[in-house]
Amino acid sequence: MVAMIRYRLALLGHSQRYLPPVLLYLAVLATQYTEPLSPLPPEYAISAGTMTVLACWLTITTVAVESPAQRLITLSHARRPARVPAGIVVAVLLCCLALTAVSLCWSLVVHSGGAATDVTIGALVHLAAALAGIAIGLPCSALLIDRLGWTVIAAVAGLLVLIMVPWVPVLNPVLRALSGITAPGPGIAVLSLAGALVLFGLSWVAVLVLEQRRR
Amino acid sequence: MPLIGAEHWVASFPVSSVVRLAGVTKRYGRQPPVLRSIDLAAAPGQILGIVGANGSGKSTLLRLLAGLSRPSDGRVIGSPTVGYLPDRFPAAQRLSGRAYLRHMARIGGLTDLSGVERLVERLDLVGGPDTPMRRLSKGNAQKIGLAQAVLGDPQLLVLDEPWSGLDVAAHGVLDELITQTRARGAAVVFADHRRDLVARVADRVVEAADGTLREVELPGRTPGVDEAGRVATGPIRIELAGGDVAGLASVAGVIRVERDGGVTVLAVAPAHSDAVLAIALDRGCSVRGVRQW
Repeated sequence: MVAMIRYRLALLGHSQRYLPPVLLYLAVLATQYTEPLSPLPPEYAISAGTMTVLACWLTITTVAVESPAQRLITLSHARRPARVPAGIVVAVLLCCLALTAVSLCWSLVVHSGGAATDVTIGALVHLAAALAGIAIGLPCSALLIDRLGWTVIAAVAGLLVLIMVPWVPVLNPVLRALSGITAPGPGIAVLSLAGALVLFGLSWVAVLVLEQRRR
Repeated sequence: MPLIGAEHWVASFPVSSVVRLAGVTKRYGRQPPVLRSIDLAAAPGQILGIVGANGSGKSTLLRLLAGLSRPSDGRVIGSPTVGYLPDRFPAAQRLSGRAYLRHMARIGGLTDLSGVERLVERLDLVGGPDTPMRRLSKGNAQKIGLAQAVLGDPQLLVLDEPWSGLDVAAHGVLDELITQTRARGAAVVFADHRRDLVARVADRVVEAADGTLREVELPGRTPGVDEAGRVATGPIRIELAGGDVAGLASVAGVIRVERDGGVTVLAVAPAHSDAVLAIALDRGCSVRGVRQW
């Protein structure tokens, strides 16, 4: 599995297709972390929301770096069908974790430190956002959708529902809570992470089943 | 030259086919079936050639045998380790050929990567193995595709139009790799639309047409059979360069051994020519020619 992750990261790195989403994310952070006296949670809400888009974008990009024929070759070496998407997921998750660390460290530097609770909640929400973004990106990627136009439409629709619709209990409730006047407790972040894990699980199973049927 | 991690698995592989399609039908979506009720087995030590026109289902058949595609109906029996080369090896990456092969070797579970270097050297890539794959010519990219397919000595080697884009020198290397794969007991299945080429290499030939397969008897399929399909009665002349030729005289079927400059010339009984060729290749010899004496 380590070999598969290394391969995915190498492909992504050489392709440089990671640059647009990563630069977008860093640009958001640069505009976000400017006021040392502002509270941390609302800034984490923006950062986590953007992380969702980043994770989705990176997932689609990481799949698209390989052509379908090359994916078959990789599958022939991996031998187990689940190892190919698993390598993609873990590689994207590692990128997201690294950028989460950048975001949290950046916020702490600008604010000259912060409450441990706020940072913990921020970390949990970023992780939930990354998982939710990957969960949207996987079924929208070339694993299931061949045409880029449909991929974009499906991904944008999925992200809008995930982030904007209040009764989808994954990200919207926690992002709104973080943006509120009163700082939320860690409970809602844990619930958000649980919701993201469930969403990711559903997405994972659906992609594995449907992708094998397509081949 | 031995392939990577040469493990002679055949002795412990008890079944008579490496993989078998039993009543396999394949359709994509609501389209008519590409293949209908196919029964086909790839046997250890056999080179199975598939001929057929474009769109006849050759590539689909190969993907089914390789376990890379699921049948719509029927069963695929057997799950060998597979080396797979698609019809168009996609070399659009910025990764170098060497780096790509090393990644594939690691993903396949190989820990000793020295064989990658031997393969790269053997394939003689123009521009060198550290050139990004996207800058390689079609032929050189195909060599990388071929190399990744034989990594780790797979039990089943599946090649889709493997000669496509290869220069004449690389044809020889490909022939050697195929023969060596068969010699260690693995099954080789390949497809091509050129009958003469398939007939030259394969032990058995099937033709894909209209979603079905039929056996093909082709003249000149093995050394010892002439263009008219007559079995040759005289010996086969095999010309070899390099390698360990000592002891070849005692191999079954070798009638005599001569030296002609730097070339070793064997006279071989027609029925043994394939086996002798495989042994010679296994000893590192390079085949310079095979023809009737």
